Amino acid sequence: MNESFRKVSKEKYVTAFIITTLIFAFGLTLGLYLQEQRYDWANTIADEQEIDYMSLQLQYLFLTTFDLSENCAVLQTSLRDSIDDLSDSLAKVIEYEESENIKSNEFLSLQRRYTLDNLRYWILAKKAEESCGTSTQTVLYFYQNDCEECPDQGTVLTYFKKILQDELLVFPINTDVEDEPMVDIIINLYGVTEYPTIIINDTKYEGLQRKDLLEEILCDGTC
Amino acid sequence: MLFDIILYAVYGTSLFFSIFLLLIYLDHKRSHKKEIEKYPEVSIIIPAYNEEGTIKQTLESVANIDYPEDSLDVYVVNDGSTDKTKSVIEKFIKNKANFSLVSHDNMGKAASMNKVLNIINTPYFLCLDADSYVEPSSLKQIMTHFLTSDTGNLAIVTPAMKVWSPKNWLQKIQRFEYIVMLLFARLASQMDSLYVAPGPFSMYKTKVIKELGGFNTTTLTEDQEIAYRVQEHHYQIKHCPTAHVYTVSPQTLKAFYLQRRRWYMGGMQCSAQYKHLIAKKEYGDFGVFQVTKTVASYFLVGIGLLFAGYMASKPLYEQIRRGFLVNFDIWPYLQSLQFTVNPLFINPLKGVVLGSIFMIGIFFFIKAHKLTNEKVTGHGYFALVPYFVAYYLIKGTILCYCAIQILQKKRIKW
Repeated sequence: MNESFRKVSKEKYVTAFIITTLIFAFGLTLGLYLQEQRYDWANTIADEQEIDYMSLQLQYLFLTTFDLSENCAVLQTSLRDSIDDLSDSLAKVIEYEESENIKSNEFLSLQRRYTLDNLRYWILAKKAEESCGTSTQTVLYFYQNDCEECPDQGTVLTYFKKILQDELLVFPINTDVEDEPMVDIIINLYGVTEYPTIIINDTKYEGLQRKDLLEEILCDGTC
Repeated sequence: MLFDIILYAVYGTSLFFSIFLLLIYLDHKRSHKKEIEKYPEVSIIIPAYNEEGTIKQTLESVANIDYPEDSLDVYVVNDGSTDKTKSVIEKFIKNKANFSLVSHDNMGKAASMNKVLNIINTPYFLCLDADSYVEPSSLKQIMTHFLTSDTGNLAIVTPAMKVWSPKNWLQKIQRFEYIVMLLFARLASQMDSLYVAPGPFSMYKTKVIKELGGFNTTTLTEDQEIAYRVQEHHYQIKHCPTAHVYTVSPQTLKAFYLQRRRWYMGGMQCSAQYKHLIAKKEYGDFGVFQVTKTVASYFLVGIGLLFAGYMASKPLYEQIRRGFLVNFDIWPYLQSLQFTVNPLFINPLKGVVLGSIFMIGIFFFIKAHKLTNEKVTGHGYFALVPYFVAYYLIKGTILCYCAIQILQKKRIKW
């Protein structure tokens, strides 16, 4: 038979391959660009928070130095706002990058910064609680990346945060953060050996704490 | 990591196929119609097995065909029907000189057609399923297309198959599918890559089909097998978009499943039988693209389904797990629900690749309707939703199920 009608559209295969590659390249470039934007955004917010934190420290210093306990409410509100900001910004970037398996240097330092931020807010919250004697509960939550029950504990704590809102402050500490002596200090302080572990009012609870138990501790079973 | 690599390989392959077809489409050349002075002699074979409900209308549509009567012979085959098919045919063809009835014990569609093939002398013949209806102008259209495109190698011209008066949602969804398939038939015709000669009203060059040994009686889909065989012997198959034929599409899910099962199993049979054509340059785009794509699509669909299942069930499982942890007290979550999308938290690679595939798909969908003069909303908006959301998922599931059955060496008879 005459096969002359047969032809391979070679130039079209090549063109299609090039366009496919270009689209992938465009997607990858856009990804890198967005990653940069995410870090820029996180850094901008972190800078703002730096100023917020200075203000908080100063408020606390004034409060204790001049014994202005009537201004406690202002301090409490600023503190809560700052902590909320933290979980709306850095926490989200970290959560996203974790889900996409991104492990850049910026991500690691962001993670470290987030842990430190949580620790210093936790200390300030504890101090404010002592000076002002408020009803706010603080929970220090230790977790690791490859711990099976940690996401579950996260879910339960998020649930209580949604119910108690301003009455509950949760400070998540990822102990996988490398080269951070502060994390080692706090682990040693509470003798944390297994994950998840939560500290509520200086009492340590090891392993997954379920809804009913936390209900007893956090709101006497009435939330 | 491996998961991501496979996922992007599937996305990449799909995108490549889509762009390639888009390039073929953009290269489309319009053919100008020539007038035929004398229409050659032609036979129409209508095999019927238990078609008492549709055969009369099929025969009426054939009787209304606009074609010189002395050049047209119609052979209606009663393939051992157990219902009233035979008497309906007998009553209809009475006093019609160019209609004849061939009746025998049940031997299957392909064998019935071969039997008639042996007695006809016309240079061309067409087959028509007994549940399909032709437009009066279709025969002249398809014959003109055949004669003007034939450079000596042309063996088959396929018609534009549409869904007959879709009534329920399943038929309306299939109507979309057929319209889109017509566009791809045009593209395949352009590349000399058609791999199916639909049962309703495909036209054959008698000499070639006789030379190739007629229709295969053991395959599930003789209309696919003949197309592969014709391609294998380097004959051409072309598509005639102006020859309209209407076919009754399955009305129930069960009938739909059985039809697709036959198509897909037949398709896989052909792929296995003609695997020596895969990626063969001497078969042009048919070997390099069409046969390769057909085989690749079995894997793409299989992997795609597995991934879709995994990606849908994993978050679902997580949600249920979380639900148990808080005793399904979801009220606090509903109260603080937020619907803000931050572009910083979108995976752009996935977005760009899937977005491109989707846009090419929509482009083809709209173009397909324009080319066939059909309105997208011709039968209401409703069917659009299941067509885009679930239809390919259902088809994919049937395809995978068939593949599993084939692998388990189960044989079916239709």
